[in-house]
Amino acid sequence: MKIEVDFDRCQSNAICMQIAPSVFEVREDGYLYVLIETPEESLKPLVEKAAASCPTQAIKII
Amino acid sequence: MKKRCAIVGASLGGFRSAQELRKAGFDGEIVLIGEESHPPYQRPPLSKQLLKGTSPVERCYLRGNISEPYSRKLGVRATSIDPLEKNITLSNDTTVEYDYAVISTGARPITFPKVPPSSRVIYLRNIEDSVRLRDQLKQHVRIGVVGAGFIGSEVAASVSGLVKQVVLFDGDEHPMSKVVGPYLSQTLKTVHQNNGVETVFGAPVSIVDSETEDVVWIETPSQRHPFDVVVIGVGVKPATQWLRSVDSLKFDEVGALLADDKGKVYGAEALYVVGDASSWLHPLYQRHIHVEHFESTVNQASQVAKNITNTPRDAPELPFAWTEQHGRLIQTVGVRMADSKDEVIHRSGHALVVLFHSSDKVTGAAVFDASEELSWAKAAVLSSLRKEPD
Ligand SMILES: Cc1cc2nc3c(=O)[nH]c(=O)nc-3n(C[C@H](O)[C@H](O)[C@H](O)COP(=O)(O)OP(=O)(O)OC[C@H]3O[C@@H](n4cnc5c(N)ncnc54)[C@H](O)[C@@H]3O)c2cc1C
Ligand code: SF4
Repeated sequence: MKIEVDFDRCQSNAICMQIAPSVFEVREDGYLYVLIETPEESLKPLVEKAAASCPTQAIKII
Repeated sequence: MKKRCAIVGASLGGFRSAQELRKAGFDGEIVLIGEESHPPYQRPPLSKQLLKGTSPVERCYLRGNISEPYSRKLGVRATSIDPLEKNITLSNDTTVEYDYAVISTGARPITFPKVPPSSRVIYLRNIEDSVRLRDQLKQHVRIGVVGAGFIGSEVAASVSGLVKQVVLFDGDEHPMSKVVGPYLSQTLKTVHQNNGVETVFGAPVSIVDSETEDVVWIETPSQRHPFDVVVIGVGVKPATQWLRSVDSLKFDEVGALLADDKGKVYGAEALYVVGDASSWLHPLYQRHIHVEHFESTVNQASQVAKNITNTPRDAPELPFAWTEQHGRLIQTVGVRMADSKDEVIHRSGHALVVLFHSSDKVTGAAVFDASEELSWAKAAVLSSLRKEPD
């Protein structure tokens, strides 16, 4: 599992971070950082939930 | 000799096409031509974060670089194209020859007759328009917004609370119902009203901006309202006028350039179109569809790059759009046909999904404040469109 974020689309509203804080972090500078680009399978449900919840559908799992 | 790809329009569709070409392995020269002098930027924040002042102009600039050989010609307009000779003439009287060309000139706001843009009448499309409006948001200011489509509704929502009065006008009783259906249109109206936006819907509107007066008037047959600033969002028109002299090209009824399902323009060699200027044949709908949203534009850029480089393409995607107003989110997938029968479904909790039915198919759906239901809605549309007729 690999995470790809379209950073142009990201609005830094931190919804993904609330769902999967170990993977997504919106920092003080206002930008989103992907902490683990290839998370373990055990994180898959959370990452999928985060991707589905993103308003602009900026997160893709490949 | 390395090939050259000229891209006309240096915004979302143009810049993404350049990026996708490199991703797909195109190692030729890329020339990006754009009328605006800003670096390539995106527009969604113009009616939201940039307007509210919660993010700076730089935040709109598109991220990433294009590797050499790459040149930008910004602040110049393409004035004509010769698809036989494969060259493009620019407003500075130079020409650019190409092996491939991508048109990504987007769209321009439709203007009211006799109401040109001015310091107090704003048609929102560019960074300058958004900044000009933002700079006028003061507690004593009254703002009239004409047109409750995506952009007008977002502007009204963004400025409410920051000014003395916001009134949203639309000639339609149910604005946005063409895209989201009357049910969600009504829901949105209530959301606006609960958040301090006054609504005047269902009456024809005229605008009077006279130099001799301190205010701009918005008039309906029964009322007359004075405003300090008026924002007009009554739709856009594809920016394809400069292509109209080429007889072999085909345009749809709104003026979008017609292309096949891979973005290749009909009636020209090696010419492609993406974004708001385009109308592509959509294999799932088996007709040409003109979409004016972020997602389609970036998908099309990726598909065109794959087409140019002969890289296998992905399966066709459904159109997708989002809008945020007063902190509420509406997402749409697919399309709502003019004859749609809408089915309102209350999913778990307060989640709301509207399915758009037409000719025995679910052609699209809208999801209200329930992003987690989007994939369900998308699957419903996809499976219905892919189903063979009985
Ligand atoms: C205020 C606003 C808010 C939006 N919000 C959302 C949203 O929340 N979600 C969403 O999905 N979509 C949204 N959109 C729509 C989205 O921005 C567009 O779909 C997208 O910008 C289309 O990209 P494009 O590259 O095709 O066209 P554009 O972004 O319009 O870019 C076209 C560029 O080409 C230039 N150009 C035009 N003619 C010529 C010429 N002859 N020569 C050279 N250059 C030329 C233009 O100046 C412009 O810079 C919004 C649009 C606006 C205006
Ligand atoms: S949910 Fe989407 S828009 Fe929000 S921070 Fe995460 S990726 Fe960005």
